[in-house]
Amino acid sequence: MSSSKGARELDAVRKALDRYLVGPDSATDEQLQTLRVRARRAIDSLDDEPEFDTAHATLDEVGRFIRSVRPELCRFTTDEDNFVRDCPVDLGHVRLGMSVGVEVEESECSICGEDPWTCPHVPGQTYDGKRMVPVITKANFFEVSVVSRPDFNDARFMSQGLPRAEVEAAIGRPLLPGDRPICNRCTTPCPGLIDNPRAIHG
Amino acid sequence: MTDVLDDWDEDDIVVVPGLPGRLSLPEGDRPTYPGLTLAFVKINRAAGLSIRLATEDKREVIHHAADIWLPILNVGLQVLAGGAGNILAEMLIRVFDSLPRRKTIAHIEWNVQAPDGSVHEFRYDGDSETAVEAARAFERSLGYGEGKGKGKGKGKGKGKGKVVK
Repeated sequence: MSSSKGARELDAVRKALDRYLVGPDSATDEQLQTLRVRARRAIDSLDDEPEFDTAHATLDEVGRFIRSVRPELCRFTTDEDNFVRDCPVDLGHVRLGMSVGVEVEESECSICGEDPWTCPHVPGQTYDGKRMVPVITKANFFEVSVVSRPDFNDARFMSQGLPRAEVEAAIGRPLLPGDRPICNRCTTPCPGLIDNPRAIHG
Repeated sequence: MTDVLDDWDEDDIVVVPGLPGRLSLPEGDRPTYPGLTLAFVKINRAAGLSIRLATEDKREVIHHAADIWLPILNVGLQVLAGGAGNILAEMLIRVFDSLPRRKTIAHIEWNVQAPDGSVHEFRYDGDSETAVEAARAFERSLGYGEGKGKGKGKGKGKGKGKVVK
């Protein structure tokens, strides 16, 4: 396993899951919720990396495990009258993210603070142990695009409205007043990832 | 803008305004360059290449996907004759080496002009690793760089070279 941040996160998730599998009762609700968040963080950090498929399998395994030992943690979330899709296991399968378009209005060299176009420092090179990067000090954020590979790998969907009809389809019955059913997503085989390689900047 | 795109130096590399592909841009018609232009220019100048921007006024635009949008270049054919190895491929390698490993998809629009005025276009959208090989093949097709004769790009990328008279 490589030593990337995502691979280290995945390794930590695997170890925690193995521990909880032996003694599920020892895990608190908070620990299990954190495990879901970390499993998603791992897959989000491993796009295009050799560990990606393992991260996907681990995300599914975490979902199945929590659904089987602590189904209360899998109740659909509501936001006033609407249902919200915010489960990290579910949203971790959406391989899309956000990319902002930025117009650089002012920037400076991270080494000398001068105009990076005219100073002697070269981007990517190190000076006295410090790597030169142009630092944007004033910018115009002019658009946001949905892309399959965001530059910042945690720029992802964190929640999404969920129509009542979709919830009813998922539980196989009409919703009752005040109903907050338990999600069954992880009780069936993984339906696969939602990806669109053609989602590129417009 | 036509005048700027027609800006050529026999012995220099000219970065002309514009972004490869059809990217969204902020309002206004100032000369626009991809955000990687600063690094591209300074890294390759440090390696001894003569590179200039076609316009004094410049607006840098960055798109935060894990793609690489390289600046659009007009290159005099004489530049390729001026050094050992593959000038274009080596420019790519230098810039790619300075980037995070996740930057996987490269978008390139480079033009090489021969003394007779014909323009050879190198267009590439695909894997950054195969972009280097495609650039080598493009240079070989012009009679420069490692090996001789016509080369073809390999891999998944959609690299292509064509001549515009």
